[in-house]
Amino acid sequence: MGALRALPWLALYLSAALSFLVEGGFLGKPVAPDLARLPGCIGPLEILEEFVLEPGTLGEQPPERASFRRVRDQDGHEGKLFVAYYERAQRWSGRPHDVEKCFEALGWQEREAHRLDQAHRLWARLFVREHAGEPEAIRIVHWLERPGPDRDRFDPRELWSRIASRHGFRPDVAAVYLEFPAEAAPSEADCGAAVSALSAALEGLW
Amino acid sequence: MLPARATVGLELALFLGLASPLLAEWFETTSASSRLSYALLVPVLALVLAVRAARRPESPDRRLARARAALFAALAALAFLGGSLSGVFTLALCAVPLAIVAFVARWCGSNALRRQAPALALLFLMVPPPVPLLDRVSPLLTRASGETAVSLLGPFDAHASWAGSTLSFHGWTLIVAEVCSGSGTLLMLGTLCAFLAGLFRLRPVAACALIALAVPVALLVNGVRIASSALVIDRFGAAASQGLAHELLGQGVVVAGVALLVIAVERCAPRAALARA
Repeated sequence: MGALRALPWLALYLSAALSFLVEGGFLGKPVAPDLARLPGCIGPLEILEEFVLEPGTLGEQPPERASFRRVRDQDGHEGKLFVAYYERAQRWSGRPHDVEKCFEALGWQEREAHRLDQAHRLWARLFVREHAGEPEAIRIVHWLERPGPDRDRFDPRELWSRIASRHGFRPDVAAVYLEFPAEAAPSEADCGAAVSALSAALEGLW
Repeated sequence: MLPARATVGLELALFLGLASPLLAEWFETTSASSRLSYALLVPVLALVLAVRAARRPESPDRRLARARAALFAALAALAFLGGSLSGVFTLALCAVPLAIVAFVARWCGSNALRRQAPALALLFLMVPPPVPLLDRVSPLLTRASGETAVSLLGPFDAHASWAGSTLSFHGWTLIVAEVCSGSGTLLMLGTLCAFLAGLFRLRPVAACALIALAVPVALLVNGVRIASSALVIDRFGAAASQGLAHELLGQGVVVAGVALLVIAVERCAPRAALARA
């Protein structure tokens, strides 16, 4: 076998070895966060008591841990915070499942969606539906939180910082969303501040 | 120097060892999801095709096989690397069938690669389709399955209707779960069609036509499944929509669809073989 033809085989075994280390958890093991220890305040939002979660509502492949909390902004408007922790993220394989699909399955229709230019590149979406003859509208802000440096950008520098990081190859992820009635939703700046605070809090928990 | 057979065995063991965490995860993921559990059967079906093809005598021919082997090995390396760095499980998993193609090309030659092409192509179906793609297809399948069910229920209730994933029939509503939306049935029947195409050695055009036939058959099967569930619930009450009886009814309807496809292929395959002769 010529040296040139041996190269792809060498690459195959080296990349298979990398896959072995990553998939086997040898480059970073998942650490489940204690979601009961979430702080009382995340930026401008106050975290209140927990809603009871029905296990059946969490889908066919539920998260390993989840917390569903009432939140209140500085103007007294109330909303919801949902944090779902998955030990093993599988992008393109439904773990975590896309938040918008969950709302669509509940009868909501997406009217508008855009990405905020902040850390984690949050999605802000507007959903509407008719409930008991009355129109309802909610604003959802959601993102995926991974351990270590993560701004969710396709950028070689970010890829390198994750590779160099101690947590770069950890397989766990948290899917987080904030839900507010559309007319009483916090501003995008407030959402960004809350996300940064929650991100820092989760970093300390896992 | 190790004998050639020992080298093959060692390389295979090394590759399987390195891919084992990925394969273990594949097993866990597919067995946990009713929609994706069909993928567990794929290696077995591919093995059946491979054993059948291996029985046909043909002289070994190593021409061009090494270049193709190197190409597929490079593709497998890229899939492993890209999938591991980006956390895209399905991309990393693509490396397994790609690497198997590379090994077959290197160890068995180009004739064997051609002979085993149906088995090797089928093996790619072990990779679950990406969820973003399924999420786009599922609503269309749900709507089409629902409309089929409404057509079938027409003689029993002219006012039966379908909205979203909810069937209205005889004044009550049945919310159809995502697992009954039709995507699982389509994936299962599509895989079976690919297997039948390999088993009956259909020509590429006929094989593609058979795989395309899986779409209407899946819609019909799922429509019958929803309509029969509605009739059973209407006759025996809401309890009949859950548990073993409902599961058996669903599986029975899918098996009927499978039988329909097998009969269709069995009837058409001899004609195709005669046409080739």
